[in-house]
Amino acid sequence: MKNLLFISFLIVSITAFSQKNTQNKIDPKLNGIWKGNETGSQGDGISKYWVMNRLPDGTFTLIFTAVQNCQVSSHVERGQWWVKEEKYYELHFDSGDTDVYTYNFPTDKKVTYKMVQSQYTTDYEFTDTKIGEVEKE
Amino acid sequence: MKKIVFFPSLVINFFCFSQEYNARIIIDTLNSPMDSGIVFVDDNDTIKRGDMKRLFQEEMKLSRENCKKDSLRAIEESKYNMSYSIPVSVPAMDNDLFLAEKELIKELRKNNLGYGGYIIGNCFGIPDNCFQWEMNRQAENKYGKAFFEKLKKNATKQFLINNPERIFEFEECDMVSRYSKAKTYKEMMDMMKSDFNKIFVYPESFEFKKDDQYSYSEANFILDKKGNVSNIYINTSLKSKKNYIFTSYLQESLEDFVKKSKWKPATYHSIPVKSKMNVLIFYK
Repeated sequence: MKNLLFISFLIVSITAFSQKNTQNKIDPKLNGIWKGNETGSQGDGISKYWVMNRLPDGTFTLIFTAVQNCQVSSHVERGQWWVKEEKYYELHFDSGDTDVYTYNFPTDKKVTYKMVQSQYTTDYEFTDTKIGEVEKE
Repeated sequence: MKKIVFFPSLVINFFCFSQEYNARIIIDTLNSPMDSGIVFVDDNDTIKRGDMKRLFQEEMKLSRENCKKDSLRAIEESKYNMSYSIPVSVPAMDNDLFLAEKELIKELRKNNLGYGGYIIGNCFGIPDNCFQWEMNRQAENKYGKAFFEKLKKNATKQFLINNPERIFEFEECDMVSRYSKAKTYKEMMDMMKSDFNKIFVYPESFEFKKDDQYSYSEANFILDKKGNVSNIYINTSLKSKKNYIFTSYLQESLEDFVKKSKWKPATYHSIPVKSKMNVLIFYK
């Protein structure tokens, strides 16, 4: 009887461990509403302002405004985010592109990102400031 | 240069030809313009198929006569100044142009040969570029086809020496397999997908497609001159939003496949080059 129990336990364990974790991992510290801005990193004289709402289910909504020569354009991007090996991944639904950043927290309310991989540019760095907790849409 | 002028002139001819009738073209998507009942119309006028055919035949007759004259001129000219032109398939895309053009001109000059530019034909079956075609025929009769292939190869080698770090577009490279297991280009396309599908395990709660809309991941990467992989970048589009919770796993699986597979360098005119490569996987 003991052997039977042991074998059953072994099978259950093997099955459980062999099923690779296939779901995205998130870093709960990145949840919530963040604001950021930068000027000139991705084009001369372009200022960008954004508000990012990152949800614990791994989705995000990014409200983006760019100002160049007094011309203002705004758009909304939606996508999926996750973390892996201390990197932050941001997949944009519209384009299918995934931007990859390293990130760190200088303070609890600030996070600095440095781009390591993107379809178009790699030399890109910015800091976001937390302005609110998770807000469901 | 004449060919460069000739092709635009052909386009302009056609433009003028249609302008003359103050017409706008209606393209019958099922039939060619020649076969469709009505070809050109404007608000007040209609040109019937019969008229169009007659005009086309006149254009053909004129082109044939010009072609004959140009060919004879080329035969005569080739006795004193021989030149070589590069034929390009139609429709000509940027990728079809010969990258080592400048180097080829130098190779031709070394052999006292002129350069006639590109031979870009047309899609209408109208004889054109006859001077260049005839000149090429004369040159190949004298020197042999292999001679010009050799010059092109030398020019390519020189181009690669001048541009050692150039990353070639996928389409620029020779249509040969870059996937070690596959012998042919077509086999490469099929085999990359089937090999990935053999090892890929779908997440337990993955939602499979219910209609004709495809979900996919595409790995873009660089292959160096030895077939080593770098700069893997994965683009993913999933029709079921629920499946996005698996993107990390989906992308990692494809990245692992690319890293673990064996690759051959792409070639340009049979010479190994650094190139862009991609693997596109459609999910069930």
